Amino acid sequence: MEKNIIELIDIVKTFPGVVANDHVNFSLKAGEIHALLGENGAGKTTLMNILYGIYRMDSGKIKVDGREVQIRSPRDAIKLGIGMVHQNFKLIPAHTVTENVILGSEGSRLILDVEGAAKEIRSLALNFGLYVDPLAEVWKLSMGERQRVEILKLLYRNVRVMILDEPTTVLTPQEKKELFISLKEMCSRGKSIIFITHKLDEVFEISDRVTVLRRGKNVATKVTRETSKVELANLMIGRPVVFEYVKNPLKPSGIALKVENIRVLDEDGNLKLKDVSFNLRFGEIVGVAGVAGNGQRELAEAITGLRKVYSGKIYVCGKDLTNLSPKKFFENGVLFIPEERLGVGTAPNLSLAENLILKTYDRKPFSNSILLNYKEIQKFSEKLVKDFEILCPSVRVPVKFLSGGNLQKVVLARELGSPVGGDGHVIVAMYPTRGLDVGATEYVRKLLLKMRDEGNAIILFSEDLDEILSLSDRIFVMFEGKIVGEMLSHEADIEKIGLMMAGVMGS
Amino acid sequence: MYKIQFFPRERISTIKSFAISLASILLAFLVSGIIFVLTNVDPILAYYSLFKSFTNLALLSESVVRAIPIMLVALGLALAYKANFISVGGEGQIYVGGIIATFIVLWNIQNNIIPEPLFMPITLILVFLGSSIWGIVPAFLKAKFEVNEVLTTLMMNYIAQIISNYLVIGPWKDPKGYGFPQSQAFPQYARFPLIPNTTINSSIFIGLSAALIIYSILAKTKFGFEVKVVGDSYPTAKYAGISYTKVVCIVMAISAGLSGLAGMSILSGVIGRLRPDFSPGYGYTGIIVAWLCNLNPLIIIFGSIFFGGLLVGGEVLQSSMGLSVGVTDVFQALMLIFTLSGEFFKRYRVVWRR
Ligand SMILES: Nc1ncnc2c1ncn2[C@@H]1O[C@H](COP(=O)(O)OP(=O)(O)OP(=O)(O)O)[C@@H](O)[C@H]1O
Ligand SMILES: [Mg+2]
Repeated sequence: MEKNIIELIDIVKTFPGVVANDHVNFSLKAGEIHALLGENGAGKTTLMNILYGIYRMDSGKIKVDGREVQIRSPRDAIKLGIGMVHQNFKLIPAHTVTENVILGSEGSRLILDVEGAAKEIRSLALNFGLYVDPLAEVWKLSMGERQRVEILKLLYRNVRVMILDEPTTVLTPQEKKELFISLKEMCSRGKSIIFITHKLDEVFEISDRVTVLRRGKNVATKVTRETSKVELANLMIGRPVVFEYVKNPLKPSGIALKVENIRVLDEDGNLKLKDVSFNLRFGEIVGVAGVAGNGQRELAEAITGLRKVYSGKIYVCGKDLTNLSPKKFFENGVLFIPEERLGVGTAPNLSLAENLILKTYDRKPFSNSILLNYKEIQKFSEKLVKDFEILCPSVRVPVKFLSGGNLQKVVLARELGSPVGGDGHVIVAMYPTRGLDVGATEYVRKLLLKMRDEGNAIILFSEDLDEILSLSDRIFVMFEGKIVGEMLSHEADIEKIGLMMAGVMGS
Repeated sequence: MYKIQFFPRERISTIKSFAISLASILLAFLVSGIIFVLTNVDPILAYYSLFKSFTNLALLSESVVRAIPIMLVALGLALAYKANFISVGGEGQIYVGGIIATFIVLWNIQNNIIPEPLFMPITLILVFLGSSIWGIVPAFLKAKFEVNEVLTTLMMNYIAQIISNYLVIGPWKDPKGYGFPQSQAFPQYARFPLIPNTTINSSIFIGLSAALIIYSILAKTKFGFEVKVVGDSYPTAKYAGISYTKVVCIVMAISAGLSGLAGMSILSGVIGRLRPDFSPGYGYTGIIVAWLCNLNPLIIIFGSIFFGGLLVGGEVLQSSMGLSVGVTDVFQALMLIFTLSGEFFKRYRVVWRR
């Protein structure tokens, strides 16, 4: 456990306008889980992208097994036994799990032995507790399952060092537990793991050592047992953070969203929502708990107009909007923070400014009947960038270059900071703090509470039960396309919610 | 043994990007040079003739004439490509434009209803609108039924060309034409006047204004913004409430409308009547020009003149050295192949390894 298999020495990487890594040192020992901790934009992903051969460093050295190496591509990295699972997965949705796993692997020949590979994948999955059907098509899988595919891909290539970039952000609590068990299993079989995160709890749950990055510099490396949350938080942010939200008493005023017996089908024609009905009032937050894949996505898409309902009605402020366009929903004050930030929530190659006006480009002052007013757009974007503390070189940068957390801020800024008609809005937020660091999470949660107090209606989908409990006024639990439980949050208890999520019990 | 691998670039500098473009063009010259040598032609002399069009005023003016339809087609295609709608339908739309223009001319010769000064403006509008409808068909099929646009636009090219050829050897054949397969000549009021002292007809101004308009649409308008969102990420467009159907239908209406005008500019500007196979593949040249110019409308103006020059040069080559016009086709094709490969290298970096 003493040998360093990987050493990063004095790594420097700059992007136009930012020093993403500023003389960073990092080492990984055989068989350890090493957490890489830091706020959004601290340079964690960048550092690992360098180790994985995606980016080239400006200066510095990489040593593997004590020898200096040149890693110029992910292939080089894989050859050295280093693999990475990215923050945004890179699977091909239309292909099956097996095809994705074997695609581009060293041994691939002209004739693929798909069956053999499927068998091997099944046994790997069994060994490490990463269950997923090797013949399923990826686009049908939940985020948690997709992640298992990514990990299987690396195991199939026989890597010994695995880099996981914020792996828990897409997972349910249950899936997270399973992942941690798998990771420990891998370590006991001689793999080493670099675990990128900004969640302090996770550092203590899983890691042996932890390195903290702050604004591109590494500030410390500690043995996890010998440090504390307070110390790490201080190192990471430079100030103490408190998670205490002042929740004002509930003052609901009128029904904002009324959903009546909706049924929704998925792409294959399976019933994904089975007669769902509920009311959402202005001035309240309703939290939706549930294991991913139980109809949350379909529900969110239905109440924002992105998915047609098969039967049933949806009213916003008393107006029947059933099966109208997403635009109509937006114009009636329905705001949506979607699950996928890049590719749905934002257009990757368009600039930050353009993405900020994605939904309001056709309104004053951003445009008249024909022309866009780029001066106003620039002014507005710069204001949002400042208000929401989005870290970026300029508002003209394509959003695909932003760090994960900053990308989420772009979506939030657009949805919550844009001028739309009416004062009471219906805010549909899917996993809004996923991937955000403590500071940003605190910010978003406070923002949601403020929006609530200002009389907006909020429906919050989250896999973080603590988040749901601390923010919501009421809680719904979803299971297999139905709302199986509803309770006031001050009467809720975690045990009961957990059982309902597992389908064991309905209220 | 060496192995080559490709990985996405994080970013590319303007200089590198320019260098790659330049290298692609030079490579196209090099390879076509080899072909010249293999066919026993002195490559230096061949290039000299090919580029003579740019040194000699008469030839240059001829090049601009050729550039007009190429420009109109390339501008339309560039707009479609910005929306990620891969149309190859320029050639067919040229024929549709030609058919509509000829129909109006022949009809007016018989009925004499449109007053002469109004004839060109009205015909331009009708040609544009008629071709637009033709162009909306593949857009609609794609938006509503997910029919691949490359196939539909390509097939429609054959349909349009065959109809046009049928008309000119059948119902529209000039009865006093000694049996030649061509329509009656267009009367003077149905021709684009020439710019004094040149062979360039005034439809050049349509091309230039189209370039400015397409540029402004993309850079300045709400609709241009919608086009960019749709072209970059379809799910994002859907999420933002931008109608894919609306955007691609309008894009293709404009795109086909411009190609239709290109057809009219060939008949009313150069030939003066409908003839079989009247477009020497301008619709396909337009594809090359659009990509070569990075879908930038203003650069397309110059790209079209360059390719117009190559066409003229090819003819000079043919007459002076007895080569077939095929030479320019080979050269153009090589240009396309190398610029598209260049695009690839702008997006990916190459890693060599042993
Ligand atoms: N390709 C790029 N081009 C320009 N700037 C970039 C690029 N990649 C990252 N950056 C910038 O470098 C900085 C560090 O980004 P990085 O993605 O490494 O952060 P991170 O620590 O992974 O944050 P997060 O927790 O939000 O994922 C950020 O300011 C980001 O905007
Ligand atoms: Mg990151």
